[in-house]
This record gives sequence, structure tokens and C-alpha cells, in this order.
Amino acid sequence: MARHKKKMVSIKEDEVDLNVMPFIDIFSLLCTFLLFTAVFVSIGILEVQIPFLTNAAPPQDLESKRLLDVKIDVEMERVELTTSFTKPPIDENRQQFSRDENGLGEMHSKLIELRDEYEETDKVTLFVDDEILYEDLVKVLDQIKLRFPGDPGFSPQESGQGIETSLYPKVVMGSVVL
Amino acid sequence: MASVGNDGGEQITLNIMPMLDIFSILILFLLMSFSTDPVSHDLNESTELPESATLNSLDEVPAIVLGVNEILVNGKKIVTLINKDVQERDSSQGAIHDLFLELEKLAEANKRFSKTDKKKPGTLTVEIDKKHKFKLLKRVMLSAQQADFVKFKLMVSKLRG
Repeated sequence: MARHKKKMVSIKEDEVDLNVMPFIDIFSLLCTFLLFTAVFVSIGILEVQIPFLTNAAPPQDLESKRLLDVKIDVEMERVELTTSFTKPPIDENRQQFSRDENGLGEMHSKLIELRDEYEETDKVTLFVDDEILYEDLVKVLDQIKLRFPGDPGFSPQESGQGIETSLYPKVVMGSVVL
Repeated sequence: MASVGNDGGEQITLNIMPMLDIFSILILFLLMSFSTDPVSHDLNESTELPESATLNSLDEVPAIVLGVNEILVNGKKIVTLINKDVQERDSSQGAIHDLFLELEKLAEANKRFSKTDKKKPGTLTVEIDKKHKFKLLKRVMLSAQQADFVKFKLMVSKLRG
């Protein structure tokens, strides 16, 4: 019994070393692999289309309905939102917004109201001034196409292209006509 | 704790715990930024993309690159830009003639190899420097329109967070 006790004490006194070298090897390899495959700029896309001629007949049900038509004119100083209906009474309405962050935010809120009131209209026709920079065009497109967290109706949904948070998914570049 | 003995029998110990800590943090950061995008694409050296809140990821390599000084189609230089616009001799009815010819070839190749509807208008992915004016983009779109491309995927840099 006394002999057994002595053995236990000697085990406790021994230092137990953990060999961390394989651990460091794995970490090094993982670090190298991740550094090589790291992508620091994540690239996204914004889809737009241009008007084109087609022989296909427009859908019958849409042709007979009185739908809202939304047009946005991006100028150097301001952005103009024009709404009208496809059938009489046309009820054309124009609203102007500044091109700064606040102005675009106001336009975005108005577009959310319109989208929720007239659900069948999912298209915006965009007219852009020639001198507008691409980065400014992207800011406007963001406000037209996307719902942001905190917006009414923001519900990210999985689609073929990732997570969809569309406001007006179809944007037609109206100024690109021969 | 790693240790090494020298000639005098003295033991030198190296504390590797801080190194392990740094490695762990680095791996965590790299794993967080690990891209799961379907397509990985290296941007043109002269191109800087604007930021957007879009969540849609790039799904194909861009066919057209509008760099600061040139327009490339599938990596081949088509037009030289001067002051971020095409020269008068390259322009025709608002479009870019050489670009139209190149896109027409691309459209024909796409139709030849397409298994789906061959009459369906095509889609082009475009990489554009953020400082280009819409005037140039319009010229590109007009050229593409004549070559049967009507949908465009404009490349942007996704905002993080």
C-alpha cells in the first residue's frame, strides 16, 4: 500500500509536455491556403436591361389593366420621379429629389410606398444624363432595386442568384435608344 | 512551451503560446473572409468598382471591361479611350463600331453553343471603372443592343457588413 502511494506521488511530480509542433504545422498550412484563396473584394452585380423590339404579343391580362408606370430621370442637380397610369385617367405626378443621400433616401421611401400600393408594377424606366458618373448611377440603382434592412417588407429570400431583396427588380435604361 | 538545450547544459525555453494565439486569430479572420462566391474574378488593374448594397454575386466572368484607358472584350483590347471617351473615328451613330463587330462574333458563338432558346436576347456582364460617365456606358449598351444583347449585369463591389 505504501509502495503504491509513493508511485502516485512520483507521477504527479512529473511534468507532462504537450507536443504542439503538429498543431503549428497544421496552422501554418491552413494559413497559407487561406491567404492564397482569400478574396478581399467581394464582387456583386446589378441587373439592368435596355429597350428592344420583339414580335411577342404583350400578355392579355396586363394589356387590359390600368397599371402604374414609373419613370426616373437622373439629372446632374436632381432626380425626378414621374408616375402615371397606362389607361385614363393618366394622373401624371412628378416629384423632384436632390441627388444627395437624403434626397435619394426620400425617393427610396416613396418608391417603397408605390411598390406596396401597386404590387403589379415591378418595372422602372430610368433616364440618365450623359455626364452622370457610374458610381452615382449605382447609388440610384441601389435605391430603386433594393430593400434595405429596416425597410417595410424587407425579407431576404434565397433565389438562383443568392439572396433577393428586390424593390423594383426590373430597371430599363430608357435613354439607351438609337 | 518548447525548449532547447545548449552545450553548457542550460535549457532555453521558447514560449510559443503568443504565436499560437496570433495564428488562431489570423485563421479566424481568414475563414470569416473566405469567399463562397460562385465565380472568382481578378479585376482589371485600372478598374475600381463602385460600392453597392446588392446581395447578388457575380456568376460569370465579365465579357466587357471598361478600364480607364481602354475597352476590352474577353481580354482583347478593342478600343483606346482618350479622356474617358472613344475617339470620333471609332464612333458610329452613338455606338462603337469595333465593339459592335466583336460583340456580334460573341453573340454568334453564344448562339452556336447555346442549348436553350437561340432567339432569346443575350446577357452581358460588364466591368466598369467607377469614374466613367454614363455617356460611355450608353455607347457600349447601344453597340451591344445592335449585337442582340439587351440585358446587362453591371459589376459592383459589395458592401460588407
